[in-house]
Amino acid sequence: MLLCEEGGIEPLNPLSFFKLIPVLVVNPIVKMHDVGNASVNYPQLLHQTYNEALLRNELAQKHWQKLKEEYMTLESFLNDLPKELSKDVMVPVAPRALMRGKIAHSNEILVCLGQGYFVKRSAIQAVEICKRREKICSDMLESLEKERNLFIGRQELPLQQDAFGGVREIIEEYNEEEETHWKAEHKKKEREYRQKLAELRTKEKTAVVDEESLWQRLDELELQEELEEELDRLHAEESDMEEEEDEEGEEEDDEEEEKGNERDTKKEGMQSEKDLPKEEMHAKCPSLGRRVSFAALAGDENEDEELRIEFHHSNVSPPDPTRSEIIQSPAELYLHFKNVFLTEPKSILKKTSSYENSFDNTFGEDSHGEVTEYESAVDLSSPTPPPPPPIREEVVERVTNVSSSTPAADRPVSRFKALRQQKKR
Amino acid sequence: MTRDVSEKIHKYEIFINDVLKEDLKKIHFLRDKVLHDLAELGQLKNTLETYIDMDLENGFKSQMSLGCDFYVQANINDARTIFIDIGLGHYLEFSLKSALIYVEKRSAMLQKQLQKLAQDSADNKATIKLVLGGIQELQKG
Repeated sequence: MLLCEEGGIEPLNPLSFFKLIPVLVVNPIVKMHDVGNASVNYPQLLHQTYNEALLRNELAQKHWQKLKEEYMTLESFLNDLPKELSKDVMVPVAPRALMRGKIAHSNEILVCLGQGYFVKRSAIQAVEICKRREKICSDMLESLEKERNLFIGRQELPLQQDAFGGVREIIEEYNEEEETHWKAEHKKKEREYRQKLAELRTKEKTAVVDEESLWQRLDELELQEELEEELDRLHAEESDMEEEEDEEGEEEDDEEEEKGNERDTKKEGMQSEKDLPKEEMHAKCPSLGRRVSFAALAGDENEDEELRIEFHHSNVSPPDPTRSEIIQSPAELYLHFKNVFLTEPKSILKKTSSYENSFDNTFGEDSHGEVTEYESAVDLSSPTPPPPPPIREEVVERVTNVSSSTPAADRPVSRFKALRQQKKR
Repeated sequence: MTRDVSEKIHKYEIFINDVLKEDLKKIHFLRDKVLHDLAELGQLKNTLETYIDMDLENGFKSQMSLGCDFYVQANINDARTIFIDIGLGHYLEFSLKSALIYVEKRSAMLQKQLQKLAQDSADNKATIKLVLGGIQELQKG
């Protein structure tokens, strides 16, 4: 409402504010033409319509641009005006007529608010009004620019997308003869289908009606039930087995696969062998061993799917670490060159008293040439005894010699230990 | 024969639309401008007469427009002379009475122009009518 009048150039009523906003109106004459004539040039119509809209838009833009510039010049003038008390000017008294005059009160500006209302403001306040109105102008220009882009887009896009071009119609031809032919065929097919269905039903009925067949059927069902139970039990056990197998990580995957296969094959077997007597079925049923059941069944059912891994033992005997000439670990050095070393190396591990007590005598017997806590050099001086077999035939109870285990006097012994040993004595 | 006639009719129509009607538009535009000037002169004449009648030689106060409906008070000390646009952006200083004479003379001149333009417009319209009549004649024959 503030902008209802355009300064000095041509008065605008408030309604003109809205008139300036271009509205897309299709020319009614063109519309009528459109209705009357089927072959209207739609692209041209679109082009024409949007061109009109764009023209209106351009005019509005020009108008607001002009207004904005006027306000800007006014603002700069109002900034300068109050610097002087009075100013000699040529006063326009009529259109195209000026008179010599003076601006009297340079800081009193009368501003029109529209509808014939005026307010008296200081120059600075008037400048603020100016700025507000300038902003309205810029906003208006911005929205007009947006509108312009929108119109251009709407004008161009249908042409780019070929909206008026290749119009394709979906045509379904109606041929009466073919239609009737198809209907007849369809009826025939339907009748056949129904006949088949009826036959099937009668078959089932007769099968059940006969007493013998009824018993047979019951037997079958019983057998099936049993088999299912068996299967359930098997599955339960398998799940147990799975838990165990979690420990042996490497094999797990393979076995999972195997089990999958196993189940499948079992099911197949079940279906195909439904009619077999019970005993035979039990024989066929896999035992609860880990893999045997599967292998057996798989062999029966599908031989080409079976995987067999065959291997033979070589003639070479496995290497004996104590006998071999080649030194494989640093610990074996002491075995091979015992005469060179006067003492066995000391362990870096911390000695514990209990360890010493319990083991220092037994080590003489089961020395494997490993680095031990062994302290005395008894064994070193003697020739190497033949290595004992890994498993002994007979179990001999160890005789612990307490006195021999007493440490030498010069060795440091913990006080508690010494006390204990004294007590024992 | 008929083809020649239709060609002629076509030519005449083009002449009407592209020449005569365009001329008419120009004449009307000029006439509007002259009428506008005349109205302004009439306003000026009224103002001058008011000044003379009110005997404002000692000056008076007025509101001076700064544009965009912003006004500031201006005092006119010397109301004996007035500057009037005499055309092409030139202003001439007149005493109020001589200004009045100038305005009257100028408005008389503009009236003459207006009459001439009205005449031109009438002539043009007559020509258009004539050509239209010719076309009708051609269509009949």
